[in-house]
Amino acid sequence: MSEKTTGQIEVLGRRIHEIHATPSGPRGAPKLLYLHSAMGEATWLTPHLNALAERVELFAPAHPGFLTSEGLDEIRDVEDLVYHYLAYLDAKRWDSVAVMGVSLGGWIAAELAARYPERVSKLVLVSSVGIWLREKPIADLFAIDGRHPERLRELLFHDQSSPFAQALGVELSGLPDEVVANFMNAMAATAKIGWNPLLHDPRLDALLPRITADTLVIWGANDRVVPLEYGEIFAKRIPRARLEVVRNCGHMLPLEQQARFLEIATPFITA
Amino acid sequence: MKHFLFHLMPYRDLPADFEKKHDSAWVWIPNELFDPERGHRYYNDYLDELAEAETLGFDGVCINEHHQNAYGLMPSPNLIAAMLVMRTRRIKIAVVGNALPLYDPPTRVAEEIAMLDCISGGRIISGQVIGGGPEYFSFSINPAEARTRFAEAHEIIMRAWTQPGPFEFYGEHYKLRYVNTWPKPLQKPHPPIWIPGAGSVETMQFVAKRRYAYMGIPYFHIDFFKRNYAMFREICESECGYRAHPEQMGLLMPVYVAETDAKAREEFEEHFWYFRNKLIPGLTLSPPGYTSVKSALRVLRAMRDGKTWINSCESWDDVERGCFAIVGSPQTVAQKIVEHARQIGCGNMLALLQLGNMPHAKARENARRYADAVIPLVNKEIGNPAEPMPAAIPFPDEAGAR
Repeated sequence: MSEKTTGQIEVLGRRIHEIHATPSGPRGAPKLLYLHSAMGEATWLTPHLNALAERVELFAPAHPGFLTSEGLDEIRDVEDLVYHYLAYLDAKRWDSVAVMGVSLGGWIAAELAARYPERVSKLVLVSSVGIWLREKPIADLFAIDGRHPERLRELLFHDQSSPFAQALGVELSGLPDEVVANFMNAMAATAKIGWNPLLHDPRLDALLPRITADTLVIWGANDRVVPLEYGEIFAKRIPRARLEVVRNCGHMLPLEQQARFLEIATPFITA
Repeated sequence: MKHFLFHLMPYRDLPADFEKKHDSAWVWIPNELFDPERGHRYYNDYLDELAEAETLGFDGVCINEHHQNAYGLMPSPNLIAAMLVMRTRRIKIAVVGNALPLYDPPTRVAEEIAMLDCISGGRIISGQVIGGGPEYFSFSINPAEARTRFAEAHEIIMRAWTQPGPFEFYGEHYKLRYVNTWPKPLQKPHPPIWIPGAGSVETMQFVAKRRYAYMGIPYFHIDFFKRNYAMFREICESECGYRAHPEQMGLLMPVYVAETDAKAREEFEEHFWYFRNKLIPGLTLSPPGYTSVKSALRVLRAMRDGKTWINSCESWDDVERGCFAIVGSPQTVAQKIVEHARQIGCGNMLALLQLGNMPHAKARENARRYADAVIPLVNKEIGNPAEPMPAAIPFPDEAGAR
């Protein structure tokens, strides 16, 4: 079990929504900064975050524009988010911390670790965007027709019958306004930095060798949004990186293969 | 009442099973489907239809801008306007409008419209729009920047036309060291500005404050228009302290005229369904950040709750009830236009007289009947406004200081 609080913190004058969860056992669990995907899963505690928080002290802030987090007006590109999280680390008075990023969050984590290697003690990249392979383009989630929610599900999940996959296959117009508004805000905040170039920074590939942290790259073998080749490139370019491939798994890896995800990620973070 | 012939220049020969195989006629519609031989014929047919508006007695024509789609084959309305300038001598040519964020730098629009205005002897109406959702896919422009790009581009253009140059413009999106547009438009202080809107209060305030003309985005239920124009008139009165001039408002509507109501429907209906089934889907694509979440939710609710949008039409009854097209004998058509124009208070009727796959001969015949039989009936009921349309408010200088 863990104890969690949801609150607001201030970063560069922006009020930021944050979940903070601590294992209920003895003190001294390692800290983990979790950077969420475009789904905004830091806005509620999904099972994988709950499970992680049994072993680590988890900090999961919502990026500007997600849920009630302010400051999207001042974010023009991913570089502005790097400075946002640099200020976040300063606000916490952390010299360095272990950072895990999923998909969109992985991109931000990789940028932060490449530009300010001394601030990231360990790095976990899960199904991360941020670089571009011309032969294997990242799928354009922005182009998915709202009338066909099942297409989003097909892209994000390998097993279409999993509970999370099923929850995604509903039409927006059938959901409560608040849920729809959160979804629209999440997509708008993602598009603000990732519309063009699509969810990547052309400079990042060349910066990856700057990363000094021990790095774990986790990828679904059947990722249809960011194909496995991206995971291979991240693991190749980052000097102290190792790649773990999860079989029978799509893009939303921590949701679709939660047990495997925890088996791989937890020992790395707590070691 | 002023009557404009509006043309979209649609692709008329999409395959019969098009909508079964494709989601929409926008952005991703395979361009293998475009047959240039047909394109050659369409463009020449459509230019003839537009040029003929002058001899038929229309006050003007309207053309517009869309990209990568089969709904409207005018990626460059200014090119079409240039041809029409040379083929007409009297009528207004309304470019409604240039999608400003798609021009970088936007001084390009200031230059081209000024050229057209000089050459035509001051017959240009400058429509200025944000551009449709699909255009943000087609141009890979960030939809989150749609509003701010539009506002900056509009400011650059208006100042380029009305303020001495060269001047410097340093905005968030456009950084121009020397704005000094040659030529300048013939009309003083500048050509009339028309701005379309789909019901957002911010757009109405923007238009009302500057005394531009407001044009409702078409294909909504007539009650939706009536609510919107009532709101526009209210904003002019309560927030800006004047009564809206009729020519500050335009009603855009598909229109078809034949000898009798029955014959009109019989001749027209297939073209409506081609338009609704094949060309409309995709028009409402709304990329993330393109509208505020508040407006997006309002649109979503309207689509969920009511028969507000053209795609909710399942039967001819739905079309008639929502007045998604005005179809009938000259008397019926005139009576409906008069009724709606009176309620809306608009002094511009923008008639879409070629729709979907309507062939050239039929579209010409429709325009001829509209001009010969409908315009006189309407104008007998609604004469020209007592006062001429007042000039726009000069563009505010406050931004110039920054």
